[in-house]
Amino acid sequence: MEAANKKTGGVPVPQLKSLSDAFLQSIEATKGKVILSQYSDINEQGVYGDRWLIVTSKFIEVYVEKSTENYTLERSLSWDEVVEVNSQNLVGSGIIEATTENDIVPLLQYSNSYAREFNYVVRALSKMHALSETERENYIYRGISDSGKKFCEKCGRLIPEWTASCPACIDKGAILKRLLAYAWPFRKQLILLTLLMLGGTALDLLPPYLGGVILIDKVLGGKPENGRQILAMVVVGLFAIQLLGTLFSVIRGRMAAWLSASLVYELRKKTYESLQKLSLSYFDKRQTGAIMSRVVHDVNGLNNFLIEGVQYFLVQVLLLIGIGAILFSINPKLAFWVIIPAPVVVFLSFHFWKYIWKLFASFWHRNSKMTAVLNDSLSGVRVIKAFAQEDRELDRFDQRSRDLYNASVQAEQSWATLFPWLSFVLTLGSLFVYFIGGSDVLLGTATVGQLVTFMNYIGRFYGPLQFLSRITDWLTRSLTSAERVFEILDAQPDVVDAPEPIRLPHIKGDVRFENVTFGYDEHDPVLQNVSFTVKAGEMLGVVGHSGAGKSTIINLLCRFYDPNEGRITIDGVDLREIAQQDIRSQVGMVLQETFLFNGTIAENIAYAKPKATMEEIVRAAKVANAHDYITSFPNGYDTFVGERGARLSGGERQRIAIARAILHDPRILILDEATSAVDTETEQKIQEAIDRLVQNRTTVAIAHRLSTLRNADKLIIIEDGKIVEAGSPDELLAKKGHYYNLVMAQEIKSKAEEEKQHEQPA
Amino acid sequence: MSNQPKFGEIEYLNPKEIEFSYSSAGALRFTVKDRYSVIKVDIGCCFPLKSPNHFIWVKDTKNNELGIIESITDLDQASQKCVKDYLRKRYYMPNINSVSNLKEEFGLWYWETMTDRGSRNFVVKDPRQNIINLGQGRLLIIDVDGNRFNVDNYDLLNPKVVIMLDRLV
Ligand SMILES: Nc1ncnc2c1ncn2[C@@H]1O[C@H](COP(=O)(O)OP(=O)(O)OP(=O)(O)O)[C@@H](O)[C@H]1O
Ligand SMILES: [Mg+2]
Repeated sequence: MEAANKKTGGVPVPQLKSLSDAFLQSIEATKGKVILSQYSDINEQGVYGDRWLIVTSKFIEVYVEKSTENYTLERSLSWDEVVEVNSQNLVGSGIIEATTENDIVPLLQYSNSYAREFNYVVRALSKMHALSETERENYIYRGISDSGKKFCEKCGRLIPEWTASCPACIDKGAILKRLLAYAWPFRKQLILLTLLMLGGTALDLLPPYLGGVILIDKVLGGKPENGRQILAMVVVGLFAIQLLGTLFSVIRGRMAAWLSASLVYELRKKTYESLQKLSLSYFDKRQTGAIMSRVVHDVNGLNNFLIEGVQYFLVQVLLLIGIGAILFSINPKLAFWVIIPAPVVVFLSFHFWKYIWKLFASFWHRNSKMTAVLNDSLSGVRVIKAFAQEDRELDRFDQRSRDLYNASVQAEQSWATLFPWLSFVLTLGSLFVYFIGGSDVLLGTATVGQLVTFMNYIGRFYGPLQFLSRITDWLTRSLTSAERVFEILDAQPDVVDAPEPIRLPHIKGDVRFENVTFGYDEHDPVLQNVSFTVKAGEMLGVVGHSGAGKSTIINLLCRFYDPNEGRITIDGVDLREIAQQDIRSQVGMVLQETFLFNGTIAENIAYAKPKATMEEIVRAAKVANAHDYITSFPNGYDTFVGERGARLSGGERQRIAIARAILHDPRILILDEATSAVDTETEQKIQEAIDRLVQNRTTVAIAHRLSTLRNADKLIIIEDGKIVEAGSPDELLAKKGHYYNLVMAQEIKSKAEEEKQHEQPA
Repeated sequence: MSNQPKFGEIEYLNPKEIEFSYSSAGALRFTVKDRYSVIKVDIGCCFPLKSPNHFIWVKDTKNNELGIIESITDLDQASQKCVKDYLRKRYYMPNINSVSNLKEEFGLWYWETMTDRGSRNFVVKDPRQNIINLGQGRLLIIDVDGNRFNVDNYDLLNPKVVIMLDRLV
């Protein structure tokens, strides 16, 4: 977004660009009605600047904005000259081009910040191109409703996708409140916990007082008549305090352990639930590792904050006040000398902890990098061995490991050096008190007991100070953790059920795509204007080059994503209206990448129907031609397949996926390259299994080997996201178009292979 | 083309035989002397980050590769200029020369920079993912809109920025 000069807190504020009315009027006077205008941030030299595309009923023009009053015409094309208008996505920018009779005119370039806008413009231009001038005059350009980004009205900051309100303008109190709301169900325990902690703290404060001012001054120093009695009472008192304190801390510890486990459990459950609800597009945009770290680490961070942190904070503050009050009540003059070094303590510990934190943060960062390398090389161990790259991996690991070693040495050594010195400096404060308090005792203005009490309190007084000096950092970190967890909790799935979804408990299986356009990035369409129909019980074959958009069609049919334009219907009902549950329960898939969960073969086959009987499982496996090889394993159906089914061959995995689909018994079956990457014999077995599977249900099958689609009722040929040919296999063969060529090419290849085999008899 | 290259072979274009120029409207025109001329081609780098001046592919509007130029510097002066201008446009990756302000808020990084193509403010989210270390201090930064920025050596930026970046890379 274009930055304006006005800034709020150093953060750029976007500016909605507009043309001056006077200028627009001057154009309308000579060039026809202005239909649309669009700003671009790159000028004619390819550097940042201001340019405009202005489209009137007669012309397509580009202007350079010299100032808000001064525009110069750079290019002008009349609609009659234009054959076609296109946009081309480049790297980090895009360009609009107009094709004329004998040339191609680059109209203007725009940065990716305006890619969405220009994509809309180009679509509008293509529509306008088909119109006459008078029709164009009546064309209404709606523009883009939202630019996909929101900016805070108050401060102009970009609002992250996951929140409705600006995180900077929302008061931190609100986040804190929300956080505390998660602890609300445990409020009784938390209050009790806090009371116990306060009690414990109060008890903690007593012994120095009893042992100092009371014991030394009143009993030992005062030598009263019933001295022994009082002494005994003081000792018993100290004993009782110790005992009570111990009890308190045991109860508190047990309770805190229970509470924090419960809270983490709840939070994690909620986070995970929310994750499972999200659409695939959420996961497309994020790394698995980053999401995992939120579920694992950030949730822990929140827990520490809520259980330990809040209480700790309260206790430290009360300690500070309590000890301060006691000290002043015993001896104000000495207490004053205790306060004097306080700013130094705060200053030193602030910087000390900041420095140490940084070192340890770098240590953790490198630690996770090393783990990543380890993870990488362990999962890729086959590839490493196959290419004999053990040494290189060793180097890679060694480098990370050494980085970690360096960070670790630096962090630990700094800690080992600085911490004793910090403690040393802190004890200097007590030396003051020794000297001044000692002098006072000698002069008789203070008592020995007072001095001893002070010495005991002083250490406890500086502790909370150190803690409080770091409070803002600690809060920020916790709040950031909270934000990260809330992002997941608040994220809205793109694909949601309609408010009143239509239930289709028994799908017939009519599938229809109507002018579907879709892109994973909206401004980069992968499918364009795709239309086809499959009647219930029919088989549709989808053919096309790698990357043409075949799997994308399937993703849309399963409603993993919603189309940007057009619609998809099942039994005549728009997919977006149907309850997702009804779609998912009646659409079955055998996907390109077979995913098996960590578990047994039986569990994997019964994944969609966990209550399946043994008979059902075995029957499904038989239909899938998987039974024979499964029973040859020592553990049969109870064979553990390991992570992602690593212990099975590709074809074996594929057949388990087919068995899974058979057991699921879907109304609509989707096969994405179910026979890729297997030998001919296995392919035949899989093909047999599929042939049994497709009976009586609507099937959409993708296959590279065209022979597998012979039985299809209808084929569509996709090229670059568009359907270039459609019809039955026989029709298409007769037509001698794309399909015919593909078939011929494959036949020639397989014939050549056959001949080769004949030439070299085994 | 008459003599189709064998499958899997790189078809190198002989720098002495080819020419690039701009049409009057500004489309990139490609000519193989004495053989053919294409009104508009697209050219790009096989290694846009590591070696932007070598292995330049040339494709026609139907996305068929016409061949590969091993090194831009082998071309004649006029063609070289055309190619460089075109690539500079095609890979819109301004070089960040200085950073006047960098702020982190709620996981978003707000940049105010001066680039070789003018001043630019932008926002980066998920910096760990979108600030990519290319080694030797070189960074590739991708902002929320998908715009790209290059930093040749981040050690030379202002110290505050260096400290923030050190944490990432
Ligand atoms: N999750 C995704 N996010 C962004 N782009 C994607 C995603 N999945 C696929 N694409 C892109 O969409 C295009 C079509 O992909 P698709 O998976 O539909 O191809 P395909 O026809 O199934 O190819 P293949 O035969 O290799 O399986 C490709 O250019 C691909 O890079
Ligand atoms: Mg696919």
